[in-house]
Amino acid sequence: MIFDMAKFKGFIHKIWPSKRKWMQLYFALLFNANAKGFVTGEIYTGKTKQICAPGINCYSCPGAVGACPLGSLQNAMNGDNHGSIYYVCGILVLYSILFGRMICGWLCPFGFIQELLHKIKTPKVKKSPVTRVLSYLKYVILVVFVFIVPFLYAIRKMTLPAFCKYICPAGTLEGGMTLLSYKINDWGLAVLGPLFTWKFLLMVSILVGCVFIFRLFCRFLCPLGALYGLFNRFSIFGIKLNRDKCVDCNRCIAHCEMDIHHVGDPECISCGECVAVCPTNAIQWKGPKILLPKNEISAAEDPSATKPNRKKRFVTRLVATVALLAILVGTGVYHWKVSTKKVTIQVDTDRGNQVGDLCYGYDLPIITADGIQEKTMDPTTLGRVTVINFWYTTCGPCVAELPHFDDVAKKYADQVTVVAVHGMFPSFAPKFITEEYPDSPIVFLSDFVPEGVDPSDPQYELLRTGYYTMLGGVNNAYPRTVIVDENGIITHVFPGAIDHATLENAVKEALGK
Amino acid sequence: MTQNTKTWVRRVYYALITAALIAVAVLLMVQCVAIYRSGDSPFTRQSIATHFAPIAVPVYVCIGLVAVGFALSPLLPAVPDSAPDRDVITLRRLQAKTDLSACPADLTRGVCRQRRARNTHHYVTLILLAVGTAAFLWYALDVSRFSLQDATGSMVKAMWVLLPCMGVPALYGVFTAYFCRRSVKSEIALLRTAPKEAVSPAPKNDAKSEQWIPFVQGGIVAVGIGLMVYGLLHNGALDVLWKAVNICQECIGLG
Repeated sequence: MIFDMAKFKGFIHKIWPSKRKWMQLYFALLFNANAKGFVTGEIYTGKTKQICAPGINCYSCPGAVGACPLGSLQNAMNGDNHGSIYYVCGILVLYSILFGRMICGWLCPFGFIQELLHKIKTPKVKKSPVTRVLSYLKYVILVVFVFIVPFLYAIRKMTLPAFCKYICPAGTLEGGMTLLSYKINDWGLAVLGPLFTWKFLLMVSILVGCVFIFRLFCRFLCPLGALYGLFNRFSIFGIKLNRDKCVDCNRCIAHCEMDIHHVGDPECISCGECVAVCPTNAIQWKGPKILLPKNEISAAEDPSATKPNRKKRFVTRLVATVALLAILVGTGVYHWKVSTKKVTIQVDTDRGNQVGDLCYGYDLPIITADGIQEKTMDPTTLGRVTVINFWYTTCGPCVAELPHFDDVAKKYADQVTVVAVHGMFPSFAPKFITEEYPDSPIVFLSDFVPEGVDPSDPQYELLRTGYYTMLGGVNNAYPRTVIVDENGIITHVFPGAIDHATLENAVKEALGK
Repeated sequence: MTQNTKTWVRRVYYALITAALIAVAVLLMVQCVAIYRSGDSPFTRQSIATHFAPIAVPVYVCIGLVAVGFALSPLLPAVPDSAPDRDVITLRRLQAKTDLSACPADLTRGVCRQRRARNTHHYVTLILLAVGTAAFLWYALDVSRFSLQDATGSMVKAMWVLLPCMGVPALYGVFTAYFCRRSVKSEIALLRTAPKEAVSPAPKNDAKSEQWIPFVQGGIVAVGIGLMVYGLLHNGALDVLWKAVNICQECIGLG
């Protein structure tokens, strides 16, 4: 059989990824540019996490270099610093007005994963009135899980990012499964229970569902897409329908795999697939025409019509590609270097962080209602059974379990000292302690960089997580509890939240009862 | 290869891949639940390996079938376009062109009856949605129902309330959608019988109606920048950073 070059070229052309796919891959890599995290299993803790990435990309993923906008929004509802809620809302509003749901179609890493899964050759579920009705479910999720429930808990000083905790499959896949696949994060396996089981079932259902149903999560469940969709009509970039040219042939709606009623409505992800099927070129790109597909350009204004223009276009494309690659490589190199800039913690070799080891000692500043005191305490040199709990005010499970520690501290006041080591923003802690635990025997300590220290100082890493890291708190995962006996020997280690009975039993064992 | 053979290859492959994918998903879920039910702190590397090793073969078979699917792609047709509600567009076009006052009375009555029926179903859906929303808000806004100690238990209870509150309007919405399809078809059939003198070319020009959009865009950009700058000035970015660099285990579903 003679090799047919034309057929081969046609086949390659058919399977070659579109410009949009390349962009999706590019942004998935850019938002997860911390390659070192994928090697070591440690999350990135650098400054770029101040910026929210536009799409769904869990910030607990080892590769993530930006914050998740939804996670940040839910967490920002709680806390005394109201700046964060304004900051996150401002970013979301800007993303929405700039791109609308074009973010879903071009920038979202989880959208990319769903589209790749949908490439698997299976029978596909077509859109129908049922899928149209289901597409409203994401608005219910937005209102209930992103706004109402986090707000209800926030007014009672507790953080509950309900969407992240109970639904987000991206969090389970990137933050949970990826993180737990590293040996270094074995602490995480010990805390898995009903919540993880539920989220695993949900994630598997959604991912398998995506094979049969196009962008199942985006269409029916994603609250971020719902939010962006509200701005689709006004977004600066995206696609729009020119009603003057439209002949109502409906090919765009037939070709589209989302549940759109018309081009550019809240369901439209501006993927541009419909541009090619429009017979009258009525579908156009909004904003600067950097993404202009061929069919929108008339022959007269097609820059490829003449040789010099063809050359010019080639050079422009080459420069754009090189610039994009340079940004990606530069980002990767920057994050690799920043994440290696860690200070080696100097510790005594005869001490350890496992059960049976002599516990590491560390002088930590005491937090009272008046603020952080100059006085310090070493939790291991008290000569009593000591319960060391690591927490921070905006960690929901940490706040939820504090009453158990308060109760144990009161009940065993003459035999046990309970210390609660605050690992984040100590300036929030005094107010919280005054309001919630005014007469508690718990000794509140700070494990944080003191005020006035430059956060970019390499020493900052040591100061912020020194004691916590020494006691095995890998990846800054909270809460964590360590119990030491009167000789400073570790008797119990609990990664994750614990209930009252478990805590009391552990204390009794440490007391030898 | 004949078309008939291709059709058979496609059918057999689709049946196999669908069965394989669903089987693997079910096996993964069953094993996860089995690990969870096996005791206290059940998730260890050893228990995971023990439970997931037996399903390795189905997983490999599934991956193999996926690879075969890509190899067979010339035989497997591209996903056909969905059947859109062409009728809705057709109806809109006919409505814009037809002057009902110039139509016979029985035709006008028939058209009005269809529209009234559709509107009624839409209003009922909206009322059900409003009632469902109000009922859920009545439940949710009583803060005492959401326990600080057992947030997950409270959420499960809330979901049992949310399910009928949103499920009933959703089911009615599906029914309405199917009913409207039939009703639209009937109205199209009626409008097509309209006399020629009642039909005129439909005007359509919405260019002017969108002139206000740049002002809205400018306003929203200004609001966004304002919020972000205010947040930045009040350490909002640092707050986001601290949250992003610390892992709240339960917040990512580890619990």
